[in-house]
Amino acid sequence: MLVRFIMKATPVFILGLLIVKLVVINEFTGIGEKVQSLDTHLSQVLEENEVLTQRYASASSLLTIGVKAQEAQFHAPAKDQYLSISADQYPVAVLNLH
Amino acid sequence: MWRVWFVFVLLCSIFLVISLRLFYWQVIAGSALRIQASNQYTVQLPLPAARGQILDSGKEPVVLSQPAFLVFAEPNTIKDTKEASRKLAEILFLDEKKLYSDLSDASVMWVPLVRKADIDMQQRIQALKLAGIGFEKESKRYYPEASMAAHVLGFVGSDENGNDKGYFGIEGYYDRELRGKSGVLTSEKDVKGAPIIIGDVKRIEPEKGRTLVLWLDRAVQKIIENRLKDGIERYGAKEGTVVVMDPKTGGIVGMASYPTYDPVRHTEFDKSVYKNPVVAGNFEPGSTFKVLVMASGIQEKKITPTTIIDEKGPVQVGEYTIRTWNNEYRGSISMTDVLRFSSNVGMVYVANTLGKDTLLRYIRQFGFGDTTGVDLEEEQSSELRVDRDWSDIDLATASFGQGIAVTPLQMVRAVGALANDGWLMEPHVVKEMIDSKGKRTEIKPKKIRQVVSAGTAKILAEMMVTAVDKGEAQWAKPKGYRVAGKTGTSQIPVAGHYDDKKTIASFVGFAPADNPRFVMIVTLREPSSSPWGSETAAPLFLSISRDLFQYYGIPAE
Repeated sequence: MLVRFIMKATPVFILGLLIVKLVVINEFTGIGEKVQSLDTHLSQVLEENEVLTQRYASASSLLTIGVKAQEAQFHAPAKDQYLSISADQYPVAVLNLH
Repeated sequence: MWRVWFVFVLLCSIFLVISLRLFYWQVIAGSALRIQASNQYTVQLPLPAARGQILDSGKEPVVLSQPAFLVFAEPNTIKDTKEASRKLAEILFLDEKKLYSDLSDASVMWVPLVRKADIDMQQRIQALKLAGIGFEKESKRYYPEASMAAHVLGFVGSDENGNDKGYFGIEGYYDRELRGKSGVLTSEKDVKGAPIIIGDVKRIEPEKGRTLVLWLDRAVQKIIENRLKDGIERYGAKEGTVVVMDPKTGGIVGMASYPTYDPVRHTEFDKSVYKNPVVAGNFEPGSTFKVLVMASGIQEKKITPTTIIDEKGPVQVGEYTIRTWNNEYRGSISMTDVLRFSSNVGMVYVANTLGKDTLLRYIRQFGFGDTTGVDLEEEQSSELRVDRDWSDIDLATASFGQGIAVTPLQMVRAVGALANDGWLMEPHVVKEMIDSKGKRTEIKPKKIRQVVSAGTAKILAEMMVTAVDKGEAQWAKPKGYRVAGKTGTSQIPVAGHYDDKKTIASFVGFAPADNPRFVMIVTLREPSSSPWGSETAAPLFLSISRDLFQYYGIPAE
């Protein structure tokens, strides 16, 4: 009984699988354009990443920091440096680099 | 009957012809047809490898790649050539007439307009929506610190096939490592050109070039470049170099030369400035060489710092008379004073005491006459004459650094041995390489040989400290620091004789003398404010040292 059922069901099962394969192949064949668009998007994101890395490197370069420091009125340390706790007190440390 | 035979032969002939034709198409022309067919239904995309980055010792980028584009035109598909030429010429900075003539040539299918156009240019052109104008992705180098360390880094140009290729410096030496490996994507395509993802897809991933981490510290580089520029202006010199090396590892922490160039616009500069004078330029080291000859004498136990000689006047070597630099003679002086006063007469005594064979052996052991092995493409070294060609006068002049040609890097490395217990190191610019998978390859410091003992190196350090503390440039020394150094002033050989007015002023030394953090050489070519190293190169060396003490946080004693 079981053998007869298997004998009859197998062709139907195989036919079913063939139909599924056909549908899947048809489905996947059609999404090539979507894959292409994803590839393009990926490439754009990588490109953007490169641009951002470049901008980060530019912003953290000594060249940029130097300009910003000058704008913020930082200047090169003097040969004599005095350290006071407050403006009206005598220095507590002196650095002499002559 | 003949009719039957006729039909039989005819059919056989037709069968033979068809068989031969099939044999031709399937066997002889089969592979070519397969390729043609494959080209129709497969798409092959090159996947270019990004060139590796170059980072400083603090892992901050000094060179990286940025997106760029090849802008091209297909003249046959351009609708309004005149209008397109006008708009493109404005954005691409091209000559409008020349561009119009290129775009009007209907016989040309494809015209490259500009290589390495940046992303802003590409976006501006794209916004015009011009038919027949396309882009192909490329990449180009970006230098966050502009032209800093140009001689060390080199630049990227094109090879004979138009591909990127590194020239000079790090880009030239490590071109293969930086270049990486290009990949390729092969897949079947549908009628619209889109990939069929269930078809055959072969993807060979590109391998990004290796990232190089340098010993070079961008802050030190900035300091020495700024100081060198100031020094050249102040002393009216034509050229100058500064090298800062870690004596214990041989790592090049800073290397600057002037005149220099901008790697981005390298084609606008004279090609003669491409070569790094620190590794490719020879000079006669003058009195800075005395410390090495003195170290050889002490190592051989022929002299000690307290050995006294009688500097009563000039010394005669064959037909030549050797004088002191200022023609002043001090009578009995010690070897320490020979260095302090930079006595040529005293050095001739040391050379004679050592003898020709021993002195030449030490000169070679200190690394002269051979390249240092530094990882910079254009390194070259003057060869030393063979031993039998050294006459007495050659030996005498070599003792005070004349008649012998060295590179600034050879000189700083040799003096570095005195700051490193006598060990000569192989100088290196690159510290480690990181591949695309993150695997690190460290380039370990390489000891070449111990030229003098640690004891001799310490003695020389003390003598050099005295030379700085009591020498001509003592006024410029940072107070509270022990700096070991020696000035040098060498005349420049011109057409077989020395030109009195043209000198190369130099200073070589290390600091702090007891536990050296850096060894440095400064050279200035033809300074016009003063020809002497003590009045030009020495103050420059000491001002850089002052900055380095601050940067490294080395306290005064």
